[in-house]
Amino acid sequence: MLPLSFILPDTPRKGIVVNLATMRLFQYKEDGTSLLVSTYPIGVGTNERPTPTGRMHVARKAVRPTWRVPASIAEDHRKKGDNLPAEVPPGPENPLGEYALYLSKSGYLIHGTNKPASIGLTATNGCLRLYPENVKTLFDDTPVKTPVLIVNQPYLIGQRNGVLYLEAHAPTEQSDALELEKLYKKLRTIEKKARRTLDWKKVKEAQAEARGIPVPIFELSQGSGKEAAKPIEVGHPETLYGKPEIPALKLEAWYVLAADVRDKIEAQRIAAIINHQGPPIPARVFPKSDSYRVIAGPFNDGSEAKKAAKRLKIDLEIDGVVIEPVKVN
Amino acid sequence: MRKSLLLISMMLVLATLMIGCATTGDLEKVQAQQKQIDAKADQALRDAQAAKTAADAARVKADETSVRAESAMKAAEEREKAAAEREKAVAEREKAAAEKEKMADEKAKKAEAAFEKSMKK
Repeated sequence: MLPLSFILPDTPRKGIVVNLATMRLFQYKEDGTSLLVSTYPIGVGTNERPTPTGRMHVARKAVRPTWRVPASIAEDHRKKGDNLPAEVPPGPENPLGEYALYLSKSGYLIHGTNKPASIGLTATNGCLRLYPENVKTLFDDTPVKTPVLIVNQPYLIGQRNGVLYLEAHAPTEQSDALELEKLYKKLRTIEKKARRTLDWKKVKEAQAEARGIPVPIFELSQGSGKEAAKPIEVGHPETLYGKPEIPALKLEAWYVLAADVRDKIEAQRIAAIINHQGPPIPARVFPKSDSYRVIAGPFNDGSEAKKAAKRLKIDLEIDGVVIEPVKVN
Repeated sequence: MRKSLLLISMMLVLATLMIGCATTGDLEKVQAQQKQIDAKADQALRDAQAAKTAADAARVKADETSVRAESAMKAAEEREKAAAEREKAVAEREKAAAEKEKMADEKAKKAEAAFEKSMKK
């Protein structure tokens, strides 16, 4: 199920607001007398290097930014056998992607990515990642000095057409008790104002399920609420946007044998994971009589193949075997 | 968790689509290419295994006598072990089926964890 509605965070509706719990960025822009809201999915910081909450602003912007590798990240990569240079220039190996908005909190950015599959994951070192197509739109539409507010609100309440909705996401351990208390306090206020009792069992179910989509929990005035919107069935598109391209096989190319497994699903899973690396490594499954091989490539030369094998080892702990060309040009 | 499983499922569909639809002629061509690349993969694996075997053989040669004696003892132990295991085999087949299902689930979780780790900067 894909959500088509999102409850806005409980914050002033100004500039950029990021809700870490829901992994969404909201951009508010005044258009005459109206307030326009755009929203984008994001990738956020890991537990070890979380994205900070608080008020800041866009200090500067850059197209095709250079990534100046922080010492701590360089050290982490060095331990894995991956010696990063001090600076990574723009290009497919640059994790910042094509656009960056540098925040006033030093070291933190809103930027694109060379790993689109990481959006929706806690995978960054504290920065906020957007899909390449989203960061371009945001970049073009966000002046320097735009205020940025980062919050962590796993429980959101909103109302539409007389119906009260709760959007619950999995909270972090640190925030859970406090956020639950805030939620119940708001709901008790609403209950008091409506002079009717909430179905608290429904509220607790919605909170525990944490489906991440707005769930109707209450009619604000009896009989006034329209029925909650039903899910819309969307047809599967013929072409998937951003789908990794797999080049045709070439007998004169090099390859890397990444896995040889008995289970077809396991082979397909491994191939999919390799295909979605950033930058992508093309990989496909070769069925054999009693097993399935995952072959990465084609690569232009031995050096490229060895580089890919090294990436597979460092990033995925896969011991690839380099395969020479079938025929030489 | 649900979001990650949905993501992995979507990527599986992607991988399945990548295996592709094609005309008969294209399919035959691709299959022929796969066969040739597979043969090269076999050769690369054999070379890697040969290198490993040569390294192992060098170590074994250095202490051949004790290895032979050890091998003989091991062989006897193995024969005894094999006899005992044949008795256990029937009961373990049932246990294996349940284990297989558990392993498939663990593999999926492990793959998800590896993928999430690979998405870090």
